[in-house]
Amino acid sequence: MEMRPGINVVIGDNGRGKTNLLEAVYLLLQGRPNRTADFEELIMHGQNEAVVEGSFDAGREIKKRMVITREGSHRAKRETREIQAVLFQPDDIWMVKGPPETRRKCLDEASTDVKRGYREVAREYQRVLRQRNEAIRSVRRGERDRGYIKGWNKLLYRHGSEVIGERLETVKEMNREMSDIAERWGQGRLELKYYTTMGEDVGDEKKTMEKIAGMEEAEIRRGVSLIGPHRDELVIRLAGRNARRECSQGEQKLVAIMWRLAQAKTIAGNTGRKTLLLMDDCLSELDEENRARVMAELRRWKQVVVTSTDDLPEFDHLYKVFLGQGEGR
Amino acid sequence: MLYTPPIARLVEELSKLPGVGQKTAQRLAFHLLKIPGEEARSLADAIIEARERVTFCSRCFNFAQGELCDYCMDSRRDPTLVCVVERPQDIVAVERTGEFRGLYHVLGGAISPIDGIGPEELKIRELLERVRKDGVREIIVATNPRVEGEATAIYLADLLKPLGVRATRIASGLPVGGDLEYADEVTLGRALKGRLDL
Repeated sequence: MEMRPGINVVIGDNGRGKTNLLEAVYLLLQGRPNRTADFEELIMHGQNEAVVEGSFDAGREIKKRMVITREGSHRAKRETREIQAVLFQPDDIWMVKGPPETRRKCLDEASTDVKRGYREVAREYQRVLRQRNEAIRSVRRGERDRGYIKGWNKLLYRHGSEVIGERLETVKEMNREMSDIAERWGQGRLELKYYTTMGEDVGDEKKTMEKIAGMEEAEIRRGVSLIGPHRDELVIRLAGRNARRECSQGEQKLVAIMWRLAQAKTIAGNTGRKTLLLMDDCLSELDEENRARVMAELRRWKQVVVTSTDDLPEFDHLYKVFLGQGEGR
Repeated sequence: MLYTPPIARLVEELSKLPGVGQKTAQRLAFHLLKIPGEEARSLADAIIEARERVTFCSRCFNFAQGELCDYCMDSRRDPTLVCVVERPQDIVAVERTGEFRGLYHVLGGAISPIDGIGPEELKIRELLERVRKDGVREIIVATNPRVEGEATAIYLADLLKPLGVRATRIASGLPVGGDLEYADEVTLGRALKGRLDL
C-alpha cells in the first residue's frame, strides 16, 4: 500500500484491518508494539512468524523490515531513528478520563520519546521502588528493623526527583503545544499541571527527605511506597474545568487528540526527527465543527494517516484508500 | 540418549557454569575429549587445587592462600586507606589502574531486599571493626554504580561518618578515549552534575 504526502484517509468497515495497518507502521518505526509488551501476540494463530516491511522517505530512502517469530527475534535491521511515529487510538480517551496511572503512562511515553535518556532514568527509579517496597515488606514481616528502609529513602529521593524533573520539562513543553492547539480550536484555556507526592519543595533535599521519612509509618502498614513519581498526578484543565471529571466525552476525545498532536510536535522540536502521525478513528464522536478543526490541524503536517469507517464526503479533496473485502486483513 | 553417559555428565556439569549454555557446554566437552590426556588432567587438577587451596582473607575477605591475602600481607601498602568493593574480581579491576596503594575490603555483594540481602548478610560489621582497630583514615566505597551499589554506599556512609573516618565514593563519569557525542545520556548527565572545577 502506498501513502502520499499530506493527509491519507484509509476508509473501510470494521474488521477490514485499518487498525492493523496503523499498528504495523507504528511497530516498524518504533520497534515495539503500541499496546502489548508481548511480541508473540502479533503473530496470527497457526502461523510461525509475522513480517512487516516498509519503505520511508526521509530525504533518502529508508527500508525497514521486521520479523517476529515465536522464538522472539524481532529486528532484522538496525534501528534507524530518523523517523518517529505517534499513534492516536480511540482508547487514548482513557488518558483523560481514566485514573492517574493512565496519565502517568502517557507522560512517561512522551518523556521517553522527547528526552533522551529518560527510559534509563525511569527504569532505575522502578528498580529503586521495587527494592524499597521489598524492604518495607520485610520490615512489616518483622524480619528487619526500620533502618533497612532508611538507606533507600535517599535513593528514592535522588532517582525520584530526577524522574520528576524530566517529567516537568516534558509537561512544560506539552502544555505549550496543547494550549496553542486548544486556542486554535476555540476550546478555551488548556492547562497541564503536575502534582508530585514529593511536594512543592522537591528541589529541597532536606525538606523532601523529611517528608519521605514521615511516610514510613504508613508505608509499613500498607506495605508499599506511598511517595514518589509513581504516585504523582497530572491534572488536565480545559476552560477551567478538570478534564477528567468535568468535561464531556467529546471534549475528552479532543483533549486526547491534542495530547498526541502536541507529543508529535514536541518530539519534532526536540529531536529533529520527522514525525509520522497515525490517527486511528480520530473523527468519530466529534461534531462537524470539531472534525473540521482536527482535519485543519492535520493539514499542517507533512504526512498523516487517518482511518475512518465513514466515507467522509466533506473531505473529498483528500487522498483516500478504500479497504475492501479481501484487502487489508 | 544423545551422548554416552560420561559425556552427558560432562556436558551437564559444564552447562552449570555462568555464561555457558547447552551448545557451548557441548563444544567444550568435545574439545576436552580431543586434547591430550595430560592437558585434561592438568585442568581438572587446577580446579581441584584452586578449590582446596584458596581461602578467604581473614581481614578483607579477598581470595587468599592462607590467613591473609597478598594485598594485606604487602607491607608497602597503606593500611589506613581502604577500598570497599562488592566482589573479589572488583579488586582486580581497581588494581589494574595502578592508582591505588591501600588495602581492600570485600563485602560479598550489595544490599538488595529483592534477593534477601541486607547489611547482616554482608561483611559490614567486619569493616566497622577494621575501622576501629586498624586506625583507618579513609574509606573509598567502590561498589557498582547500580541501584544496589548506591544503596550500600549510602548505608556505609551513615555508619562511617559518626566514627570520624572520611568516606568517599568513586565518581561516575565518561569513558576515556570516547567521544562526547557517543556517550549515553544518563552517564553524560551525571558527569555534568559531578563536574569538577578547573
